[in-house]
Amino acid sequence: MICAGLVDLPDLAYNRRMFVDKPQVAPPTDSVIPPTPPTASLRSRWLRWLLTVLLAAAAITAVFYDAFVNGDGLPYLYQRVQTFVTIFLGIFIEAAPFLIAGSIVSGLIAVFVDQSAIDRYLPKAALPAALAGGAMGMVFPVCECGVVPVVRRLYEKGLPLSIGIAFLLAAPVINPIVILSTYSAFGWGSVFVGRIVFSFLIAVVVGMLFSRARPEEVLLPAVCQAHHDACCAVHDHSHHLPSAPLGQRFTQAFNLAGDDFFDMARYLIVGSMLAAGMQTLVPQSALLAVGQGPVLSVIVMQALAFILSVCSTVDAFLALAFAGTFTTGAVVAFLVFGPMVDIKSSLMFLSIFQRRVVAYLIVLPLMLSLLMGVWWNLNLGW
Amino acid sequence: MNPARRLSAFDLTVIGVLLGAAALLGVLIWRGDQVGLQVVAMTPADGSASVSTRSQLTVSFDQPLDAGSAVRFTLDPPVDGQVQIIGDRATFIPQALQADTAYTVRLEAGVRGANGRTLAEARVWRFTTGRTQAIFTRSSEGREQLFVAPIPSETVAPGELPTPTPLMQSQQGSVWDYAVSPVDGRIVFSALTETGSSNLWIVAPGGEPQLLLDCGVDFCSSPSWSHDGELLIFARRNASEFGAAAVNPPRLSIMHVASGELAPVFADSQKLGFEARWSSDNRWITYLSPDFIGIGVYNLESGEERFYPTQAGESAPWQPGQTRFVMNEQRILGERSAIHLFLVDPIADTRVNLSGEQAMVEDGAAVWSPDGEWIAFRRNITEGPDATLTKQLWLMRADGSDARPLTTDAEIDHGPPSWSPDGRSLIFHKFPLKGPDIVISVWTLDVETGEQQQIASPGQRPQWLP
Repeated sequence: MICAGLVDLPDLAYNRRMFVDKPQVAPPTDSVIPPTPPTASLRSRWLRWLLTVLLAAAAITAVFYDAFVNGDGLPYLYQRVQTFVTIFLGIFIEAAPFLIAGSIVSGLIAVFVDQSAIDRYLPKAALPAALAGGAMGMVFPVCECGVVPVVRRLYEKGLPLSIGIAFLLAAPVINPIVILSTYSAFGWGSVFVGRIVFSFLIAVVVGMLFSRARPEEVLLPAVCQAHHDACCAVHDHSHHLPSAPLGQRFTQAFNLAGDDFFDMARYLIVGSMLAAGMQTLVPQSALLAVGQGPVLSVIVMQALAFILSVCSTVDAFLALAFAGTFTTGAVVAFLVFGPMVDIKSSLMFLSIFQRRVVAYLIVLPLMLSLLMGVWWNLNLGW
Repeated sequence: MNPARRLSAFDLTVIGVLLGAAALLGVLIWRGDQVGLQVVAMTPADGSASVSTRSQLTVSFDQPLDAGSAVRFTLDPPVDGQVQIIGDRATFIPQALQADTAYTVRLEAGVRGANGRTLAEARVWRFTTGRTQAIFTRSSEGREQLFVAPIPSETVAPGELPTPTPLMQSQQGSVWDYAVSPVDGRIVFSALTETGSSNLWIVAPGGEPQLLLDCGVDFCSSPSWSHDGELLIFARRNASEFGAAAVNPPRLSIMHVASGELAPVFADSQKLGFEARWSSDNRWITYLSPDFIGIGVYNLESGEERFYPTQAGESAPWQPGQTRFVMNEQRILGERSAIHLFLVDPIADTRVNLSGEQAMVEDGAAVWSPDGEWIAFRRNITEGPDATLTKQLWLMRADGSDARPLTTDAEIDHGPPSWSPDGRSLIFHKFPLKGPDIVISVWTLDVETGEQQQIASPGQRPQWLP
């Protein structure tokens, strides 16, 4: 049981030592994993705290500097706090229903989906798996908030990595609701087609990349444990109760949905607060002012997409407002990158993936959508 | 441990993909823009014939232009002119195109868009201007009809004038007023019906009139073309329980001629107006405002408004290339009244009396020369030895200086003049007050030499065509 020891591992370095340096030496099933060296753990923890305090201090300094040097003191500060609260509530209230929907789907998957079916019907080879993952959004129409609990549950059911990643990145766009909202905002045209095609392509490419990874170097220990057990049928974590009465199965599903919701809501709240903080500290006008040119416009729109953290079901209407100001490539990059990764969804990824992998999940779509946006601007027209 | 060795195959793959994407991005940026600024449309279109000699050459791009971009038009045969950049359009305003001439236009590469994209290759296109003709109205079969007559290149005796060609049939109604497109010479005219309403018709040079707008029981009149020949503003009077359409108050409507799409000019449906005139950049209009009793000035983009009171009741044409217009206004000088011309700048909010503060004159029907440097107008002197009952044609500079009469025949009343596209001649009608057989006739006048040439008789309200 290769993931067993990871449950208690607090340090990424230890994971790497375990799986990369000595992959051939698996610890015995019931062995006691040696604890992390206390000095390394302490240093790491100190560093983390120091970074957090420094960032918080920088944010508070920025707010106070803005209030007392550029603004008119306390009233200005009060106004900024109000802005923060308004934006935070806006993002959270917009995302919460989708998270509830995703959690319910997750609970239903846990109880009603047989993990052997996943094993039997879903492809294993890299390309077909990524393609299947990219198209799964049409079956599970969820936005970027709802997709996270679904993917976590599917991983616990033994879903191959590449399918899950492609699904995670593509589902917020490749689903009927978002396709319709994009169509109603932009009509049948290059932006509509570009959003769907490039979202799918980037999701498939990133999904294929993850076919080279092993679950234990990607997933969090708890998820990995369940995933491994599911794959190897070692232990049933699936909550699949085929013989139980239907009512009991639904109760079980909704209990699990509740657990999922509260688990994910922590990340959603922190992510929404971060997004609101960024929007309060970095005014949109500052970004819009520098957003010209074929490259810079794409970067600015990606930054906006990341900071604004708008739900993919409605972001097309927001993008429409930018259509006259920004290049077409930048608008498409906004529509492709935003649903894949934003502040709140990045935080939610931390409930499934290791931090290093979350960084990959941000940087890979960022780079590929930047490439797409710049190519669009320089070769198709701005 | 070497940090590179701590990376798994997966990590290395991700890093490799990121580096590859970064390299590709670098190559894309290094290759630069492969599309360039795109030309969407050119006016006049490539290969078009019978183009008006008053045409402005307009190139529309796929994005707004940098206002400071160098835009260079060259014409063969050469023509001087000004370049104007507005939004996504570059317009060349020629000083004078020659009639019946084939032109080759070249727009040089390097035109820069607002976001840095440039026109990669020069664009070349050709068009041919039409023959210079006069259009005027004449009574025929009991109705006022439109006719076209060629402008002779040499002096022709009245008896040898070619017969004018009718431009419409009597079943289209009786012409109330008309306007010639500055781009392609198309004519929009309003024609009275038997029931007292009037519809708008459009006719291209050499073509058959087509109904442009069926106004039903309403009375549509005073059409005015935008300088790009795309839009038309006209006045519409609705019939009501209290009176026929023709006597009810007018409201301005705007029409996209190609699509026929209509909209009111003002959001406020109670606002009245007629006799609109477009500024050169098509952003402003002047109009006669019956409810305010004066000239209204309105910015079609921003909705900005100004009002200048006058009871003279004449339209106010804009100076070419400027946001200034000329209007006339009644003045009380002692116990007498006079009508003076004023140059008005609605942006700077200035008014300059062009007629002279104490001049005992009645000035009106001012028209700008194509280069915007001269104003031709009608004047009658009301006091002193030169006083006449009839209107004479006069000329003065845009600032009111160098005013001089072009006609001095006190027995003939001269109609409103119209400048030839090359700015050398005026066309107008003469109304003799004496004589056994009073006939209104159409004449041209060479501004430089004062030489006059009869074009048609009878005929009135002439304009140059195209």
